[in-house]
Amino acid sequence: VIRDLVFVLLALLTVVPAFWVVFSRNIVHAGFALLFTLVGVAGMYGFLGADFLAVTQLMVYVGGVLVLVLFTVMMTHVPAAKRSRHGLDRLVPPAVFAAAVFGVLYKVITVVKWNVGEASTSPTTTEIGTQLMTNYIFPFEYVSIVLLAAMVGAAILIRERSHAGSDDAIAEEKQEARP
Amino acid sequence: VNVGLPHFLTVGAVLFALGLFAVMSRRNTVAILMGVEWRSRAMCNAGSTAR
Repeated sequence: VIRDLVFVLLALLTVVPAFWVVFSRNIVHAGFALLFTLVGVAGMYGFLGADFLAVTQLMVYVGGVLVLVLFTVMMTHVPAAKRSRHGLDRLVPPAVFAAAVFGVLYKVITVVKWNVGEASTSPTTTEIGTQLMTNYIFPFEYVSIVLLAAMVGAAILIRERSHAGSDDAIAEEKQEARP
Repeated sequence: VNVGLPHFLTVGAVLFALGLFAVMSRRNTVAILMGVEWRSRAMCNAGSTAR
């Protein structure tokens, strides 16, 4: 009974703020609602015995990504005239498509006979670390190379833009300096 | 009701569908990123459940 109650509370903590994020016009409110959703998901990971995932979720997503999103939202000013106003014609097709996708997923979830194993009760962090450094060393290193490539790409993109921006600024200054 | 695998997967499916809706209906880039975030969380949820 307690297990069911915990699941229902975690599911509500996850899903209700998720609806709030979708239907909230205020992006700051949406960001704060996302906080509760991510905490709920972390709780579910812990509930399922995935302790490493739960802690990573809290540290990386709640502590890192969400703070980044909120800072981005608060530091960028969107003029009131440019704020998007959702008409029904803009909301109905995505809603129908999302409902259809959910219907298919729900059908698959309920029809398929899942091979359910026992959840481990021991900590998983040591095992994950051992596996990453032994059996899964190639995927681990491959992902690190992909991340490095993404970082270098982002740096190059920013550099090119800032160079173009500074060139334009110099040209404008020269034009203004001409008598 | 005994909480089992389908219940966790259903929560993941709800999150996935909501993320999809957010990505398709929002114009704000940050909101779209939030939608993408949910979709990845939903998949992680499913993966964690099915392990």
